[in-house]
Amino acid sequence: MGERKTDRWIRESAIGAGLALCAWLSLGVTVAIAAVLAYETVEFFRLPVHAADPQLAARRPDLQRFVEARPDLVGNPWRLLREFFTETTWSPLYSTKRFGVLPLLAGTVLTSLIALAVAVPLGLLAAVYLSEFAPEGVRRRVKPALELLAGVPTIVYGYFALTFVTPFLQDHVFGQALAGQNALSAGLVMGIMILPLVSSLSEDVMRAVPAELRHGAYALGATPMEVALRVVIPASLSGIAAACVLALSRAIGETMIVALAAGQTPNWTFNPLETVETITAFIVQVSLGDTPYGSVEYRTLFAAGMLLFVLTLLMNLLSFRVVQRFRERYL
Amino acid sequence: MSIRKLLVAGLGLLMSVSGAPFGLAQQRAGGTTSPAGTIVIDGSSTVAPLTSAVAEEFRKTVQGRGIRITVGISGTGGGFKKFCADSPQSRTDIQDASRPIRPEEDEACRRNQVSYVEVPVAIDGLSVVVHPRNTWATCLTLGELKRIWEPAAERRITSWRQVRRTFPDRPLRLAGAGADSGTFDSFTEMVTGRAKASRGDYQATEDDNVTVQFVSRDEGALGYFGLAYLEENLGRVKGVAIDPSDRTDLASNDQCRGIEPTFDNTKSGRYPLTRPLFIYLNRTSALTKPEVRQFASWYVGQRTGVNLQVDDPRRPDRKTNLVRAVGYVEFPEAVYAAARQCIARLKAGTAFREGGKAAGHATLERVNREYVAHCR
Repeated sequence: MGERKTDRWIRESAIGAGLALCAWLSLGVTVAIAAVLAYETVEFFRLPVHAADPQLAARRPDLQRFVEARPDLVGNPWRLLREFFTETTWSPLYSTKRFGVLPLLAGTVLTSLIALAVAVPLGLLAAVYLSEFAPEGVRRRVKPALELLAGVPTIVYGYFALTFVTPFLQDHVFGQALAGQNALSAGLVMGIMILPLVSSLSEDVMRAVPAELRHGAYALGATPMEVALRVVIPASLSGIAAACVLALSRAIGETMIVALAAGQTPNWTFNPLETVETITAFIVQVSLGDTPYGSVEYRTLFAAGMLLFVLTLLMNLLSFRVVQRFRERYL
Repeated sequence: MSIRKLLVAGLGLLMSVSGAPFGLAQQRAGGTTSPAGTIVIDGSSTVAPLTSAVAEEFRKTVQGRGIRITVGISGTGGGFKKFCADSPQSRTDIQDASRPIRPEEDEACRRNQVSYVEVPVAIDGLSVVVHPRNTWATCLTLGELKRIWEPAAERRITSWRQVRRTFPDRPLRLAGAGADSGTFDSFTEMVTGRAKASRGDYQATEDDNVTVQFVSRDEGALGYFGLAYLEENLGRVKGVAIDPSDRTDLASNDQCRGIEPTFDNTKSGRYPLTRPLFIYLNRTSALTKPEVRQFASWYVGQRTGVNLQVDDPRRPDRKTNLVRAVGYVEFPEAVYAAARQCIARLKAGTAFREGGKAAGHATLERVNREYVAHCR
């Protein structure tokens, strides 16, 4: 009897330890990634300091190139930092190097907002229909079909945007005003990609709203539409907001679609018809391109990557706050 | 019981994984560049497709069977850094280069006692393309191209009229290679005179198909990419003849002595937007490892490597040589014959020098003349 008990104790504590290990592992990986990113980002912004040291500059070709390209920044990290956040030209890969990251940020925000503008209304409508109006049979078939959209490889979406959506919009809507690679097509298709995130998660929270609330509203003479709009949606607002923020994070981090369909021209614009470049598209460009390891161009990767990391982190914090603030508790 | 088993298995796995790097380090401390039976290649992303294609075919031959060949892409500069590294274990056997070795790289090699054999392998030709219905720009001078593409043109040269007075006042829309590609480097260097000096307000992409699509949809568009893509997309885009002069004061197309962008004009060296591509062999590797030398001479052989007959990817049921299948153009046989001599004798150093130093730059004419003399 006692032996079996210890056996079970060993087994359960092993399982517990395994699970704890998994939890700590994911945390550790995140911390390690953040640390590497932070270190390399600091190194990027310290380039002017290192370049001012003639002994170090003699040994490192990347510093020599930095001095050559931007003599005005040597010894002046604060100026580089200010340029990074305030100037509107991003051309670290050109011979005339400028490090203003705002065009990449604008491209990222623009494409993500377009995606959200597509995914949120469509996704919410789909969720309301599926949870409140659709017969069970329809719901059982439509929901997995919608979720399938999230499983399409993003490179397929990218080529779809590039070779179908863009020519279609050029031929039927905008004519030549629409560039061959543009924020609009990329954003629209990205919206389709994140639509299931919004619809599926929202539908789950809407269905979790207790039936008593609906019955109460019906008892007061409300129509099904009124129940959906005035009872179910307000009651599931926190979940809906969290779904939207999650979808937004996904859009900000999406890479293949924007790299293919939005372009690689860092462009300080909010015109969706123009070619832009997002942070992720820049990262793809540099990491798949001809840039030598350890060069100035290579180091810009980490500054851009850090910005992306901070951006998604902010989104996650925001979603956390939203969920906490609007959460309704049913007893 | 089963959990204990799992733990043991996991522990074993962990040990074998963590043990691997030690084994590798011990092997590397031996002093050779890389173990026998392997060829480590790195360097230009422009040359890499060609080297990879040649390596793939080489591994199908009797002498190449069982040899491991890795082709890295750290760019010409990044590759030379490894090729001439101070620690022998991080050196590569062969370096892909889209330009000759530069003086400072040559100096680093000498300092670390790395000597090399220079081998030109192919010609990279670039074509400038416009819409098929563009009737005015059939011929452009290098000077006019520079006017279009130099950094000062950004947001200023936006109409065809500004390129030449006789051209229509139509918006000039541009597309080209992304700023991180070998194509971008060579185009900017040949057109604006300085590598990576370009205007930024054009549609940049690493995917040449995107440029084809861009140009084929806009009558005012102008783009550039490798010659092979022009051949592949004739009908959707039209190649512009290029006049090698700097003139920007032409009154009409009659004054423009353009050379058509064709494989033949590129091979003869007449077409101006061309550059030679190279590989460099580490002489120590070539001496100690027969496979490195075999691979290199196979690379530039008369019926092998770049000259191997393969199916033409652009026209099914026709054959072409490997170098054109990949998208580049072959040198005249005399250059390959000289290269084979250089490899056989393990002739050290670069053929392209100025004032006793490596020049870092070579035209096709210099390859045909100076390189051939260098190997003789």
